[in-house]
Amino acid sequence: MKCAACRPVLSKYVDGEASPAEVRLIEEHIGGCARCTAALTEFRLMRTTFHQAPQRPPDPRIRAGLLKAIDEIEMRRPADDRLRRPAPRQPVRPPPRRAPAIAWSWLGNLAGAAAIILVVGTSFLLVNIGRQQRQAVGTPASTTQAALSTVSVPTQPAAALVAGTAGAAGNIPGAELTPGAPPLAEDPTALAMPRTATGTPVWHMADEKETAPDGHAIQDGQFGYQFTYPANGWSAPAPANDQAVLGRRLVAPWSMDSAQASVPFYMIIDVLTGTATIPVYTQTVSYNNWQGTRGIRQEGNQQIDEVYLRQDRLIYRLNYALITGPGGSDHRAEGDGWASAIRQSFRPAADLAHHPFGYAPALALRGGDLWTVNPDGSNIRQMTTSGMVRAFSLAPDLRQVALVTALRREDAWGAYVELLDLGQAGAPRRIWTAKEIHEVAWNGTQDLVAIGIDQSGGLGLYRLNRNLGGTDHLSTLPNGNAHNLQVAPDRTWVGFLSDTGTGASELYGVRPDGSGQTPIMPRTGGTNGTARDVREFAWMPATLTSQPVGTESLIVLEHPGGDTAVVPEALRLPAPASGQSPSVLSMGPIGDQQARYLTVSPQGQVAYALFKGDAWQGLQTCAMGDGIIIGSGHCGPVIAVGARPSALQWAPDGTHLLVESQASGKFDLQRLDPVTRATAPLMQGSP
Amino acid sequence: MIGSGAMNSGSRGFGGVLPGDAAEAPSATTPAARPEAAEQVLVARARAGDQAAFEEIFDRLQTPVVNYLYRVVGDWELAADLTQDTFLKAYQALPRTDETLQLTPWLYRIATNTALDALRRRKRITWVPFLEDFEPVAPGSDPAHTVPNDDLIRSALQAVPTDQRIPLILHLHQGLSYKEIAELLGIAPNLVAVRVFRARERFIKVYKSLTGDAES
Repeated sequence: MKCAACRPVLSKYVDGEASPAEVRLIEEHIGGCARCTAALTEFRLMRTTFHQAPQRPPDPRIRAGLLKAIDEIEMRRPADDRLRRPAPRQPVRPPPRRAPAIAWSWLGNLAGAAAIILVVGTSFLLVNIGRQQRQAVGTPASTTQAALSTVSVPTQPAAALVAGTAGAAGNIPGAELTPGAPPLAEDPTALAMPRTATGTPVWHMADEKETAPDGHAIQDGQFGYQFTYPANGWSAPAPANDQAVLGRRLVAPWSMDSAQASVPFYMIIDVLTGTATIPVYTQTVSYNNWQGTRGIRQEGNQQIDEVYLRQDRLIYRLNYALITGPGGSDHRAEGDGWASAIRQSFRPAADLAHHPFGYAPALALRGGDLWTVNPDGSNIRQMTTSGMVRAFSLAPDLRQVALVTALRREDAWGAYVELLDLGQAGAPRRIWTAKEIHEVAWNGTQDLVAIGIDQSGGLGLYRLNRNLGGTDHLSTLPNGNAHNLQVAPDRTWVGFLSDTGTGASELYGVRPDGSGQTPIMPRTGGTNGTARDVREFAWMPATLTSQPVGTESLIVLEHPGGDTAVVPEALRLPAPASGQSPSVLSMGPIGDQQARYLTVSPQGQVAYALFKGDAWQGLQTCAMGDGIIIGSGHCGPVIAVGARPSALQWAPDGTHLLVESQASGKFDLQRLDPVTRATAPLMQGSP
Repeated sequence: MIGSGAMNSGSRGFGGVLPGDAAEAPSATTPAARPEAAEQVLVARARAGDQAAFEEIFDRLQTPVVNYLYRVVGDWELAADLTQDTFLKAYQALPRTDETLQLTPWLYRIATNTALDALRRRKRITWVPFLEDFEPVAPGSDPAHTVPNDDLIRSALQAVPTDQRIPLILHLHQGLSYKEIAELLGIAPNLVAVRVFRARERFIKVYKSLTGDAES
């Protein structure tokens, strides 16, 4: 070895970084080379010099300055982001009791369980529902009924109202669960609200307002409402909103239709403590010869165990209800089982935007990372830092996101599926590593399906579970390819598109266990005929369509062939083994336009962008509603607002559209209210 | 793209230097790379939001970090500021890391980037590979120093170009291996060897000339 070549290797040698071969060469060389031996000495001396250099103690101001800066950061953080220090659970304060209990006697003798509903407002109604639920499983009726109906009272309009509500064998309107819905006890987490790390359901965590929707002040569990009860029915001030969230309390309107009037009640549920309170109200009573003002005080202090939002209903499980009977005696009623309480569409108000993991943040991929922004454009946050995220899928609980993340090569297909919890800080958790991963979609909140290649072979469909290692290979994909993977809302089908190689992309469906893979739309000319060319598709939400059990509905954007149009159609898949073919319903004339960027909201609103050739025409929304296949959809006007979109999606709460547009290679994200046509920027100029 | 779309545009990392980016398992042969169990527990607690745990991490590591930064930037006041910046960034980034985090290299990575940012902003240091005509700072110019040797080292180090100085300090002062340095800086281990060698040569040359001046 020559000296010139020796010195660099000497450097590694002194540092202990030379390879065994290099060590041998060095030791052979320096044995006979004075220059390099001297160099070795110098290098060693340098090491010693460095090691001897003293370490100075740090200035104590560093620590002080750091802690101050940390405090400032924590102070600026919004309350709901303070995940590290969850707010202590507030003690449950029972609402104040009011005397006298005269009201009980007024209504106490009304026959039937429904009567007692009126007495205690909605709380007992809910208990009653619970009782019905329990009866369904053979539990005897509670004793509350007997305890409360002690005094005879003339049955007048109240009774009529009661009769109306008692209805069909005690069925309370809105109280029954959707027929055919899966039993709620099976997988409550599937529909669960976002929760804190300690499991408390979280709805809203800051900015408690003490004003009811119609402007009345709320004090500690009571409303200042005045209900007037004229001779022929109830009336009450109408709420400004369908529902509202006040601080961490849910103000849920409840309305019972009777033959004469609809009776609004308000129930306040504190979702952090699980307490429900009922408004205090007074009635002016006038029937028969009774006149005067009666005070119906709030009764019932209910412990609600868990609260779930399912489409348009609030569903909760009762723990117990404490009812105070006439004369102030306490009675405890056991409530159990599930109840579906609020029939009205129960969408969180738009002003919940300040709570990113509370509801409906927008998610977007920017530069290979996942970003989130609230519907009002605030709180833009970067959720990943790898720069390698290729695709993502938001779980039905709106809290988990599955990421398809690539290896550290820009041209690679994603090779990991990672799970991110939006409600907690922390890095994504890997659940699958594979040779290729193209797309992933949630099947419920525990399982996922993915298109990829596990170790070798062609593209397949795989099943993953968020907790278990390993994957199941479900099916080999037709034509060796698939894209646009979507699981049906009731999880009976997995849909995807597959390029046939003849220019068409065919819509396929397969069962979540991998069986029954088949084209969904019948081919023209029989099973070996020409595939229908579907460009995009979206499943319709299950509970919004009145259709036989086991059927599924889809919206597809089909290119009928022969012209340039891409038309939206509604499709109904019959139940398996029904022997029926899918039925297709065109959603209206499109002419020579192309519909793109199909998106369906949880409420069944359809939206897409319309193009004529390459010229953007506008956005259109269609409300499919209940009669999706029975009738035709109702589509609104074409809205040409905002910039030309490159992607479109309903926000998860269905209140607005997220519109991505592209200008000069950068992407902007906007929100659009299709009713008011108001737009607002969310993220601008992102790569 | 929004929704469940896939993106086709290329992804980019963060200049190859990324907190918590531990895709490959680090070498476990040197003490610096093998995390102590106690340290892991501390890190886990800090990651979960235990501020006391984070403060303890700070107390353990602030001395080597501030001294490292001092070696890199040659200015004690600046090193103190950069130390505070480094730990503040670490505090904010820690929740996004997972249990594969190697605390010390990660922290040094943040410190290094912080120092590089500061050096770039400093107008009197220019970024050139070989500073043949560099005028070393006269020894003894920092009155706080009473150890002449330390001042000589500092001066000689400042004469070494930054991209060579940092690997040299990380190895000789912080005791990181070439492989760890390579991961930390996002460069190949061979390049680390080259830079350390060149830094050495330069340092020795300048150091000799300084000690030669002092003696004469």
